[in-house]
Amino acid sequence: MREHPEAEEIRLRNGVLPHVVIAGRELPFYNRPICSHDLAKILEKATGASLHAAAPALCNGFLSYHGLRIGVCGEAIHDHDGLVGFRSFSSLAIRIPHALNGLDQATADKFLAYPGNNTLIIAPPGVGKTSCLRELIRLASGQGTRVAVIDERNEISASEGGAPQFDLGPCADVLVWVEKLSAAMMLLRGMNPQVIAMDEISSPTDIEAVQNITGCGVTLYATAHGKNVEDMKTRPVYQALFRQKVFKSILTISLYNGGRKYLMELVEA
Amino acid sequence: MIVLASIVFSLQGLRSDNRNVQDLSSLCLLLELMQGELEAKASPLPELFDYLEPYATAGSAHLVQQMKRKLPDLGNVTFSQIWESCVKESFSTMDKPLLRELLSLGAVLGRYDTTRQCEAIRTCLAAVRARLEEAVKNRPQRYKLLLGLPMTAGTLLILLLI
Repeated sequence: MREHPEAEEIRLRNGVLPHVVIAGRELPFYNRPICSHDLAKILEKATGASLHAAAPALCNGFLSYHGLRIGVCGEAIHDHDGLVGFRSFSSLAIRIPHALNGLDQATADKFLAYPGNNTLIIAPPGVGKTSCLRELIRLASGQGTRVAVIDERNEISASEGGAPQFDLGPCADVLVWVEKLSAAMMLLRGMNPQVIAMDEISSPTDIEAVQNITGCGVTLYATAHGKNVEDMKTRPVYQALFRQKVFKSILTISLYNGGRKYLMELVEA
Repeated sequence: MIVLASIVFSLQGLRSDNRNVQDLSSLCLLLELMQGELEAKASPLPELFDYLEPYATAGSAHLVQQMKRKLPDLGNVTFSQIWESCVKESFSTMDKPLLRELLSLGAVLGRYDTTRQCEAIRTCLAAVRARLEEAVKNRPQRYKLLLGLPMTAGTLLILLLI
């Protein structure tokens, strides 16, 4: 992958040649098809031979390893409580994280001019919402702001043994593997945060977490899947947030000429 | 010479007996701790071996050290291969049926849910405990046998010389 720094994902499917995703297109990159044994070995490596410890993440459809997000497909096992794991794996999608070398200066300046604004990052999947959120956390934390990070899927920090593998600055506290609503209450009660950051708000309980945080006077940085603000406003789950004008800054990321374009907008009161 | 050889043989036997008992008793402790950690925390195996290291003695200490050294090779080799090589290195004198029992854990650890892993550990622990109890119970008889051998050889030699 060193020859292809622009590679976004590696796709491994049982019985098929491995593919690399570059600029949204899948290209084969090796001359031997992947077998189930290869997939099992990768998962054993990624979980430290501990599928039992990775089960909660696997039930969400992916696991994290050193900041890599590995999406899984296969035959699921259910018990009376629902999905409990996988019997066999058929596909893996390994997303390659790209550390942002800083947002463009204009966007960073705009953000730093209003660090106390509730900020929503909007972008389609795979465009770099999480990396951008990480960068905002690092910028705010670098300025001495106490940022509590709700890292429900361990993607923001890629924590291992209690230490974030990504630089989140000196004033970031990370809570990993707790769903947003409970995590928000834990952090508000215990960590006295000035900012709470969370990735991918998408469900009604996430919206409830957002309202709890902003209702307590704590600043929120969050991300959501979408094309732009207009697109977000059409979706029922987000409508209350826009009606209440919860977010004062909206950062939209889009792909443009093979690169990323950042648009920071301030929402008028 | 015969007496001396018998004494050396007996001492070696006694040492091997002691080592066997130490290995079995340290293995019991190791398996108990493993089971407890998995039940209470569902710890990932690399963390589990970190936790076990200060408590492991005799053959178990070697097993834990070797596992910690070899686990980073995961991906090139499977967990069960690593487990097998470490168990065989650490308990080279263990009798075959018990060794087989211990090796079979490698196919279960980290692979199934914690309940099933704990069941496998319990089964293995029961076998190790039984063998430990047997070894401790038989130790006085073995001592008598091993100490009696050079004395008998010595007596016979004296009688022959007379």
